[in-house]
Amino acid sequence: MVNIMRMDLYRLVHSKALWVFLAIIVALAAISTGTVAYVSSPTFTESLEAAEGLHVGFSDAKSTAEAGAALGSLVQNLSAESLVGSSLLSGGALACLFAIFVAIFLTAEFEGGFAKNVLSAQPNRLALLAARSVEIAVLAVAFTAVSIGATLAIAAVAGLELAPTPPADLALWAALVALSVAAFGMLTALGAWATRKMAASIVIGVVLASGVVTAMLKSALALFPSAPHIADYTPYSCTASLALGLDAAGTLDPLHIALVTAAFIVIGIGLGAVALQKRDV
Amino acid sequence: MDAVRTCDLTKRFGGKTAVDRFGMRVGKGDIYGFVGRNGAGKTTVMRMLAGLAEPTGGEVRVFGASPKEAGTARRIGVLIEHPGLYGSMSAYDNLMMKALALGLVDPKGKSRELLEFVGLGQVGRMKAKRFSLGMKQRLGLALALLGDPDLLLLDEPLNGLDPEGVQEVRRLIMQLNEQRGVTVVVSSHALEQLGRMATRYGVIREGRMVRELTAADVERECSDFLQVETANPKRALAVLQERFPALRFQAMPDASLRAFGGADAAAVGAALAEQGIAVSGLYAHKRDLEEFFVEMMGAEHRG
Repeated sequence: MVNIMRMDLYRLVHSKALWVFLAIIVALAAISTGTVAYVSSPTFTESLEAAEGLHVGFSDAKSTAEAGAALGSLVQNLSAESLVGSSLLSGGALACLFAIFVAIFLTAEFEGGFAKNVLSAQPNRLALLAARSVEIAVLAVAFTAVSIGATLAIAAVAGLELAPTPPADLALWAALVALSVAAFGMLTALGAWATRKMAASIVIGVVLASGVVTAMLKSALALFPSAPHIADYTPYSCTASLALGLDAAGTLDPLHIALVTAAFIVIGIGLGAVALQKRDV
Repeated sequence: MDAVRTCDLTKRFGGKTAVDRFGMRVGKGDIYGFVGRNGAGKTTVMRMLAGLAEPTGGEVRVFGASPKEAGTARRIGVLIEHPGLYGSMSAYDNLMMKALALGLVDPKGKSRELLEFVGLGQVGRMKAKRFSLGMKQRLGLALALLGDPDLLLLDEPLNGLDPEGVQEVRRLIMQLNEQRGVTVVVSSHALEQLGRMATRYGVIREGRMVRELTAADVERECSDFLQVETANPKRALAVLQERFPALRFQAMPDASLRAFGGADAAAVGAALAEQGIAVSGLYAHKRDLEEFFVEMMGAEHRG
């Protein structure tokens, strides 16, 4: 298992994929945080005052300047969680990027045939599964850390003042984000091991991480008003809740998020074991 | 102990039986030429020997153990179908990754050494996707050799190589066998090349082992044979088998008979004439290796 992890670490460091994806995350964080910083700046308010009559979207604002001020105060109340949430979590951006990365990383060895070398070196497929599961968890933490770190660093550089958050709350929130990202990674890995096709795995990962499945589930459940909130038990609902922070109105309980995402990770590992064991190379 | 032994090895894909109660024995130190037509089941057998495919039935033993046991798997070097490579990474990186997966003590040194060994020392930093088919085959061979395996499973290792490359790879295989005592199971359609290195042969047809024979057997059977054409081949076969028990006869699909083992044309003709069997053709023939195996791959051996 350790040898497989050493091999994968070598591949991660020496191939471009990881660096490209991390660069995309930093770029997204820069664009999103930069936009928020600009919106909260006096320059933006002044430009709104100069453009009287422009509709900004605040229904109770009497003038464009008032609307600009309202927008500014909204941005000024942003917490670190909300900023990262609006930049990279809402819409499943981070989860989608991670799912695509996992799909590429895991299927490349099947599409190129290198899996024959891997499995002749390590015939125990459960050891391979264990190594890959640990790697997905570590990579999920890395993707989450880069997302948060890049967003906060860019916010600091841009002079964006964020509402203070207790470090323990921020750590809990970050851990839950990493857990939810890992859940999408594990589900994508399951797709990769079952299909061994890069395109199919990417589609599976993106469909799950972008919330399409959860949206379809919600639509179907709308036909049954008495049905419990089953959609809350999907990883996407957990990610969407985390995008708002931990304490905002209507967010899911942290324990609920932890249990749901952990359950999907366990399901991914369990079914991944079946997929890996059943198929020949 | 045999290097490889299979017993009633079977592999089914859905309703199709690709390998059917296949029996194979490869002794330690053999270069085993594995011969069969495309689709006969060679690759499937090789994959099961390497532990990459699960048999539907039967048993595989490599050095007396299952190839899926970690200790045994490390003794097997594999080049099956096309070499499995990461095209976007260099030859050196590909070797490094497998060396790390094997947990070798000096992965860098071993990777460099094998690049030199297979003649890719100068292009080790080049991306594998830019390699020619022959260079990829050499890199695949280097990957198979990582970890100093005791058994090499090489499926069509001569594919895509130019004549010089074919010669080099053949020499390499023989060198590994002679100097390091590596047992080699090698399949190839280049039968003449196989004939220059194999010490034993196995012929597979439609998933079944048709026959296993030594290089000496092949040499003997490729020697002159006598082709006999008569109006009544069944009776002629019975007469000849009774009269010449030391010879081996083979009934051919075109109704002719072949007599192996130093048959004398005059004596055979006389024996048939005595029994009143008209002979329409009687001539000596010498088979080359290709002809010998093609015949065996296409028709049941009736020896």
